[in-house]
Amino acid sequence: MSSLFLIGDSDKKSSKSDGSNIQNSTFSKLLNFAPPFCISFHQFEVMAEPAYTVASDSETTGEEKSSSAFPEIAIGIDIGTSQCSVAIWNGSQVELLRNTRNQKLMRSYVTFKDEIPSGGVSYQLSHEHEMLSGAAIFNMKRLIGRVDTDPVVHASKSLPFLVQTLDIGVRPFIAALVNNIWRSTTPEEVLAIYLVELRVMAESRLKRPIRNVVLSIPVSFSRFQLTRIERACAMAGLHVLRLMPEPTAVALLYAQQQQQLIHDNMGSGSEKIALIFNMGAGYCDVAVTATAGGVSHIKALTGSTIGGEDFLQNMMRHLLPDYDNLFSSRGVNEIKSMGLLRVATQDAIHKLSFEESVQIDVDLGNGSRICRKVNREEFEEVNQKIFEKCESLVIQCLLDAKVQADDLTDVMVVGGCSYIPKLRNLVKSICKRELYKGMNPFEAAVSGTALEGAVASGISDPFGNLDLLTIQATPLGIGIRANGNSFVPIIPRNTTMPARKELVFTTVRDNQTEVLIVVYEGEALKAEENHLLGYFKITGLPPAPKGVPEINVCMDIDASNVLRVLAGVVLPGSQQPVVPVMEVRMPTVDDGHGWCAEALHRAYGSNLDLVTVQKK
Amino acid sequence: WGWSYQFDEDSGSTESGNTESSDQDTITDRQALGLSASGPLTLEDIKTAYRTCALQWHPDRHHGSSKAVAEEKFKLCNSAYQSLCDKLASN
Repeated sequence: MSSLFLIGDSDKKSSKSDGSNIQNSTFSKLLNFAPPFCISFHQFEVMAEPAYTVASDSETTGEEKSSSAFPEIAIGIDIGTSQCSVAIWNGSQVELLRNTRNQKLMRSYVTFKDEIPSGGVSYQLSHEHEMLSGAAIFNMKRLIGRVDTDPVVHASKSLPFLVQTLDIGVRPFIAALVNNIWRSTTPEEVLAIYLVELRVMAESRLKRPIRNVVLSIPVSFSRFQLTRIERACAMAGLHVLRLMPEPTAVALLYAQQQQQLIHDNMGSGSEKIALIFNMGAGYCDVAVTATAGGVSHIKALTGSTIGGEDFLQNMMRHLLPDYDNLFSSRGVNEIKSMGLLRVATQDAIHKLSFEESVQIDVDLGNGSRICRKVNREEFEEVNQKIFEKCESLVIQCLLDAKVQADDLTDVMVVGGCSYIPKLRNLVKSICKRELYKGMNPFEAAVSGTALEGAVASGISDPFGNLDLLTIQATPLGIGIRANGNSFVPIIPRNTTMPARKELVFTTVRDNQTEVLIVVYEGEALKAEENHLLGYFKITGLPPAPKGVPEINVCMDIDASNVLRVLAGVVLPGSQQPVVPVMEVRMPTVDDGHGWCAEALHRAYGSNLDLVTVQKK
Repeated sequence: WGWSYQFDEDSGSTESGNTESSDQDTITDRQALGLSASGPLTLEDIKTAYRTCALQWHPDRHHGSSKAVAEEKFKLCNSAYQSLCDKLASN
């Protein structure tokens, strides 16, 4: 009773390119008649988790621009899976902030060894192995906002702390070993503890309170994951001014550098097309940007959850084929052995970027010892699938941007994996270009976020160094479930933001009185293979034959990247909406949404009980 | 592609309704980017006009009360740019 069909979808899809109107907006008319309902995410937050009532993703965030005469400059933060950094526009250039140990790049981890957790910003590890004793939680960026059916969570079980899954679509059980007791935590909590340390560090360096931040995020993050990042920031007392996919931050730095060249009379003002390949420990992202006059226009984005961590895990399993059996239990000894192997393997991978072969000699302390030579070809062979995936991301991004390799002016490889020879070579060979040398591969993303922090804070520079703009695109399509179990995108991926688009749907049954709007984000054809963002019902449709009511579903992404979904119903011949237009801010789902999605599929739309199943 | 946006907010052109032809769309799109309603148009013209619009209406350039209006304008520019580029590519 609650299914939707897209009216004449095949015709309409084929008419995309001819520039004709698919349908004229009845939406604007609808909106003039009915005050929309507004269900804010805030309400769900409070119900779900009273402990964190900080309205991280509620309406307060987007609007609170600084109104003082001297706007606060937002800082830029690059939270990496493995390393973090903070940068700010210091009035004349971007400056990376250093911690008390004079580091610009700080390890991303929080250790729960003592009663008070401490993170890698302030804490000095007595030894590398201390991080691998079970008390330290890291790789939180890989784990944040994922349910326990996610393959990425399953792959994280090889980390030397506890990641346990029940495989039912709820939050995984993550815990640190403190005095032989598992102390449970969440990726949001770990990230928040870490962000507090970063904030304190920045405040002491800059001698002022810090509130506004621009964060870099992976391209492949779902909007649900973004809400988790925002929540962690809110817990740390930070307000997210902008979230930038990592390669778009690099693109902004590139735009600034090109402007600089023109000022120095060394560059031409013509449009430059650049490809940015960014691979860190957790994620691989690609962007194509068209840059002219300081404006970086993102043409396409592709990304995947692959990174240095996968290289590492493949190598560990290669060196110790019995890895999973040996470490199926999580005692102190197993964790210690895993830690030893991890350090030795990581070290070897780093060396293989500069040497053809490397000697590994590690005693795992459980009677087994690994002593052997590993060469670069071996490393490349073991990780062949990852390299193939990287290739496909680059090729797809060029395709999506409608750009040929010959059109590219510059090609950048940045991020923690950027020195791996095979990666550099594959990017060079697809793009038929030597790599751009003008930026530090480890500092490019954070520098870009600092530039955007200054620009979005309304700061200008007398020398024109901040006459920059980043025009962002949606990394994933957003749509609803319709035509059975299909995903029908309403805002396709790589749509320039902010954006507003709509499609018309209709009922599948005679006298259907209710429809369920289930909103997904992703690229898969089947609805449930995408990320569930939320759902709501439209009730009170007047009895009508199937296919008659016109159900307009409109999606709007505003400047702060807030997604709203509007749905209204009209009967032919009438301009009046038959039920009040619903306007819902998305995502509305909370942790455990995987479970919830399954329940939705089982009992699809039959009653309202579905809404409450997910709450834990 | 020709998604119709809430143009009526600015221009009051609601009466054009479903009969609006693609020619009229093109004119509307051209005007949204500040281009002349007719005459030859190159991709470079469109890009330059779009960039000028971006500098004027991009959300990063507006704080406080002008933000909401700028955002709606920029959405129009984005869709106009997209449909003009698509049209040029298909010709």
